[in-house]
Amino acid sequence: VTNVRPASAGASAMIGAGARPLARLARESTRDGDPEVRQRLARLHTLMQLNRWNGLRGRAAAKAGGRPGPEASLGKLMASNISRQWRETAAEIVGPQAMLAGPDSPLGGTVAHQLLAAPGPAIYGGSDQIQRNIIGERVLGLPREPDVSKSVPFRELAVGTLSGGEGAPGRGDGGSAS
Amino acid sequence: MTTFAFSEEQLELRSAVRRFLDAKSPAAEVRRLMETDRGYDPAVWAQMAEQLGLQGLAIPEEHGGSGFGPVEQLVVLEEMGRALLCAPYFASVVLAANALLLSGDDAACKDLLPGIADGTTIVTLAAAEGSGDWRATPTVVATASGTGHVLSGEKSFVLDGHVADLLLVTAVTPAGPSLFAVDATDPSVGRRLLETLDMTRKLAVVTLRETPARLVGEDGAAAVVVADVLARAAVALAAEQVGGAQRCLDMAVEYAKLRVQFGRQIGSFQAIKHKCADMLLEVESARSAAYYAAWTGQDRPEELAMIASLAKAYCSEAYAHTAAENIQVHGGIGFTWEHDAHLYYRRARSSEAMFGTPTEHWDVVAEHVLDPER
Repeated sequence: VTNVRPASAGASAMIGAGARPLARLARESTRDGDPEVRQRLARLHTLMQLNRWNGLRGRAAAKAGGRPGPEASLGKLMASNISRQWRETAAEIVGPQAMLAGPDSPLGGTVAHQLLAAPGPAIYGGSDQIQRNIIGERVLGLPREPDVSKSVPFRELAVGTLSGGEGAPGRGDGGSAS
Repeated sequence: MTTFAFSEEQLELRSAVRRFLDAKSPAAEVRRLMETDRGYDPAVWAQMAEQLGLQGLAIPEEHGGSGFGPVEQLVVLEEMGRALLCAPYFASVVLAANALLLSGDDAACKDLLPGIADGTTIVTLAAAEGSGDWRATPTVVATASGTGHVLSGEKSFVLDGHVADLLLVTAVTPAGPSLFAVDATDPSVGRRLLETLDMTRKLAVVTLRETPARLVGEDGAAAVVVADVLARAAVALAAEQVGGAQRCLDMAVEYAKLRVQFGRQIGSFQAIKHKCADMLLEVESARSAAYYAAWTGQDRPEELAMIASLAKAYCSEAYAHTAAENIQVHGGIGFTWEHDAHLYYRRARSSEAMFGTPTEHWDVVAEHVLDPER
């Protein structure tokens, strides 16, 4: 996402700290009594904890049986969920200030940064959809989708994006394969 | 003991309980028992106690139990949730035994826990009334009478109250809400079975008319005891919910591999596959929450209240969602009486509402998150 400025070290740390900086923001802006804010803070805190515990449990299982359990493959999806939950919780706390960016945005610009950056984790490093395929097939043993690429020569495979009126897409149409 | 690391003994306990329940509580048996008023099989109940010692598992040895802790209890309850076991186990072993232990009343523990431990006495906790709120101040009144008390009023949402031999009842004295033991078969006790959404878990209304009662614990101390019991019950229920949710995921995945549509197994469609992947994320995260809560109960009981709420909120939502998604993956067959999917859905929706809704428990977690001292 080219129009998102890179996060400052401070912003990254604040997002990584999960619910704590948002709880402080809620207290300071007297939003800590709002039922919706409270529910969202609790859920964010919980997702952060669950992600940590899933990892610990995976390591405990690996230590005991030499092979990590299914919980080890779930961190990527959970990270996407946490990223979105952080965004929603922040937006609920700051209200109209979600319209502001840069230093005018709460938490020194971190809220605006996360509003824009939250879709990222669900895409980079293998999109959530690819992750779900991997989990479905490798962990749950569900059958693969029929794959035409198995029976078609590589140079004839359609990739990229469909551009109107030019017939079937081919290699070099631009865009990127996910 | 390291959090999340099961011992060999605990893993053996899990396989023994699963083997027992596979044999004694298959779906056909669950369906038979849920249609009966009694709601459980006394022969299986006795075997649970005699062969596996499940009722006494977490009761101290001095009171006739085996003295194991919350982690062993979690293992057993997870398996019971998976099998939808119909039995007064939650009422007697989770609610009543914990209420007695937490009351600090040694004499009552000495008298009553051995019967719970060997399965010969079924005890339940009657705290909630018409509103179903377990934390509400009771309206049942306790009046001093001779050397003891008599109780009058009505309790509701009493888990297995229709089959219990003994009731632990919260009632108000001049000192405040207090806990009492009542003989459930006393002629002054009226009991009526309620119709329940989850037919595998029976609830009753209990009416008391000047019923003789024995004070358990300190006069006026019941509010704290009930709150502590509810934290432990929330963790126990979360363990059950994990077992049930896992079974729903297993059913969905199995069917997605079996069912063919448009010339393909439906599990090859991303619409189904991605649902199953999301269910796995929820089930495994719910498992982490319940396991962490069990280990907290064992190693750091002073932190239990918040973790219990976290586990109850997350596991309730995960089970309700997984049970609904299981029906959707099955399509038409999943929405029939004959298919077992609805039994899990009923259990999920019902246990979500028991001992506080997720919204209430999230608010407890929020209080912790917002604590400036954290």
